Amino acid sequence: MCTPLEHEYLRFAETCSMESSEKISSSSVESIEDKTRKTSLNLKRTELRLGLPGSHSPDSKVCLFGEDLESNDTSNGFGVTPLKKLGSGAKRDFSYAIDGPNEKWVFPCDEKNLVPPANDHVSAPSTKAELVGWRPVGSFQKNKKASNFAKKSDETSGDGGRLYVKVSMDGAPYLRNVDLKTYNNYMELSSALERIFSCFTIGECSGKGVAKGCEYVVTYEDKDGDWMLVGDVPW
Amino acid sequence: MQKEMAYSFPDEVLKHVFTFIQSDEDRNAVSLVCKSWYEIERWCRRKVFIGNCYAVSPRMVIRRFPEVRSIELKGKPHFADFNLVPDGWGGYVLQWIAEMAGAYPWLGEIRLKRMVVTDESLELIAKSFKNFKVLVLFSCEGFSTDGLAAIAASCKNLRELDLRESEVDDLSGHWLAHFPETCTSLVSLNISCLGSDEVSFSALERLVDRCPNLRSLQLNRGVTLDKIANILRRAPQLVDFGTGNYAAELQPDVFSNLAGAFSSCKELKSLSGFWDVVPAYLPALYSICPRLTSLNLSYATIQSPDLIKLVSHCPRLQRLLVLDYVEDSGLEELASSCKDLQELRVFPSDPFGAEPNVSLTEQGLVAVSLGCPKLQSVLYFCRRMSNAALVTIAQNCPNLTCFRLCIIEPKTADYLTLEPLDAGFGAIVEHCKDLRRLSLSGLLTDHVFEYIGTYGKKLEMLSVAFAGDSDLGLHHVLSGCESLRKLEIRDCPFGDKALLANAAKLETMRSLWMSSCAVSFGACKLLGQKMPKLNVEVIDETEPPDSRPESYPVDKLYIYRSVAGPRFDMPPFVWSMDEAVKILH
Repeated sequence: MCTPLEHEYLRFAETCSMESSEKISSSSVESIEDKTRKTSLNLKRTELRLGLPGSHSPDSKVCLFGEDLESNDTSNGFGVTPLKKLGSGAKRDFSYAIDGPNEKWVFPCDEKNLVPPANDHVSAPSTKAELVGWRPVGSFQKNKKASNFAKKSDETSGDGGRLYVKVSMDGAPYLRNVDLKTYNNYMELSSALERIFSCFTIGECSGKGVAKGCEYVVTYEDKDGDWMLVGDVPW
Repeated sequence: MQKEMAYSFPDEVLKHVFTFIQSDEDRNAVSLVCKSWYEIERWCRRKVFIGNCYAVSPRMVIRRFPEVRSIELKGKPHFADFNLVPDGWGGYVLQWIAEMAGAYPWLGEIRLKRMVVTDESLELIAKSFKNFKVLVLFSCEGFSTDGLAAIAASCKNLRELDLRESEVDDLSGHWLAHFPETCTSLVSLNISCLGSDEVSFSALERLVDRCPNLRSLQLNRGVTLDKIANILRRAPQLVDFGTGNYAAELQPDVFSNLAGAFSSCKELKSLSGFWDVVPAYLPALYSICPRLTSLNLSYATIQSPDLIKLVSHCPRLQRLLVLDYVEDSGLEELASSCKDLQELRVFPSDPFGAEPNVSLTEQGLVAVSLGCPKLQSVLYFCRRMSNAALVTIAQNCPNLTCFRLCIIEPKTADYLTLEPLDAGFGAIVEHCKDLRRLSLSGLLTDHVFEYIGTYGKKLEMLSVAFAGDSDLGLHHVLSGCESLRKLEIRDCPFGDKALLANAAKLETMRSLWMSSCAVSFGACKLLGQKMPKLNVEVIDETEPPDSRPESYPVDKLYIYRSVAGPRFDMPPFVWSMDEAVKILH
């Protein structure tokens, strides 16, 4: 007879001689369970056990929050325990789906398989230049992402897309992002920039902005990497 | 004698009683009482919600519920929103429409989310259902304005046409003109997704004119600010309004016209839209701000000072969606002005920037948690967080039902202590006993999952990315979260063990998504073989999973419970692990 501890795990033993000729299906599960109870199987060695890292001894139990599993066991032993409420309360006809969250399934495997697959199979996403789907801003924000790369700014439609440009002021602790489409001319842009960076300036900046008498001028870096003075190219 | 009477209610009486039972859960319970109640109930169920269109087949639904008038279907998994589900994966509605066209001639309402809807499907809807009233296409795709024209033309009593967040092939703005002159029944029209292309504005004006019951109208970006006043004056009864473009050169007459139009809308409670905002036009809203309960500024690139001014005029605000331009200072103002706030979403203005472009940190959220006792739902993008802040938020807001935090850089530690954020999220799940939805981010070990498994008893949906150390993390969640329905995981070191050990749990959930994790192909096959009531699907766009060793991890895995068996519309890059389905195809 299986001990109560072993019985926490319902074994689908592909190694179990009783079952080797049977296909596992929901209708025959009950009988398999009875059979495994009756035979004195010692499949501990092939059992897949969960344990905290470093504790792989065959006799270790899974410890959750310091308590071992046996105390979490409400009922096991040999009988089928009453179903706990699960989801919409639908009845389940799998008798191996017995005990809800405390149920332990074990799919036996060779001890060799306990070794996780070679790490070089698992790519290191953080080294990838661009992670798919991160940041998770969602399709709701698709318009924003597209305009961040100025994809739509070439389209003929009037106010399509947005043109985000990073603006940096020397000495400011961080840059600002500005949507050029919200401004209709250089004046509006320069007054907006004035406003945005006003917390950092100590010098005077006249309302005329770029025009005259201002300590700061607005420059931008074009696609060739050259610094250009704002105002030469028409808005 | 008296005992007999209890069992002798005529069916009509029971049927009448059952009409008062609206919730699906209650209806399901009713149908389990006895066979005759099952029969009566199924004939009078009018509304069906199907959270996963592949969990059941149209035929099964029709067979059980022959007289349905309203159906809601969801297709793709949530991570499709973040481009993790390749195009062509599935979620086609056509077969559903085709079967229902024959079985439900009186179907009046169709609500779809994340499904592929073709013009053919729309045309079929238009000609099959004589009493069609409500079409909601939430985050759908695959159709064009031609399909919309068919709906507009044929649906004589259309009440709701809501295309929120859908991708529409905008072929012509004239589809709106297909609404017949006799159509006066519209209550809700949401065309905000139609982008910058023009919708026939005169057709829109005329439509609004003749629909006196119009309560909810969301315009698209192609409608310019100067046209808003025209629309509002035709529909002063609006409760929910989405502007189009909110930008124009400041002109006093345009401004006063707009302000006057807004003030004439005495019922207006909810605003959205606000593409390309010119801040000078925001004061036009001030007359209605005191009544506003919902404000969606997630497209509005207005800076903190303007946001502060606006928000301070809205003391009754319950729901605010905003960009991180609001900054900590704006959120502090929100916390002091808006004591009724229930839902806050802060989106990143520059999610891909290497450095922060705005001064928005964890402090803003802490301030809101302190000032807004009714806060229930949070979605917050930021660049730094601390355990201390999370603990404070948890203690201030024990009534949170939804907490989604996205720290932009993966695996960011507590910026004060450099520790993982396990304790912070642990405090969230511990204090917020009604938490139903949680999204994690930042540096997290298996411990956070221990907390979630212990305390997250009401948790229904969990989203995890770049977290955990080992299978134990996943095991904690699957074994501890009793109410879990949806679990979505990406880039975590979770492998076979926890999944196989908790296989039975998966039948109690709607679905599990795992991508860029460590689940082997062999484990997927095993799960597919042993669990006939689960559909185990492996997604791999590069090569067939069986061209590699069985121990090799699969790229993407989507597992969902189903009574319909494996689906027949899988594209070549999706493999079903069901024993009955050949792996090679």
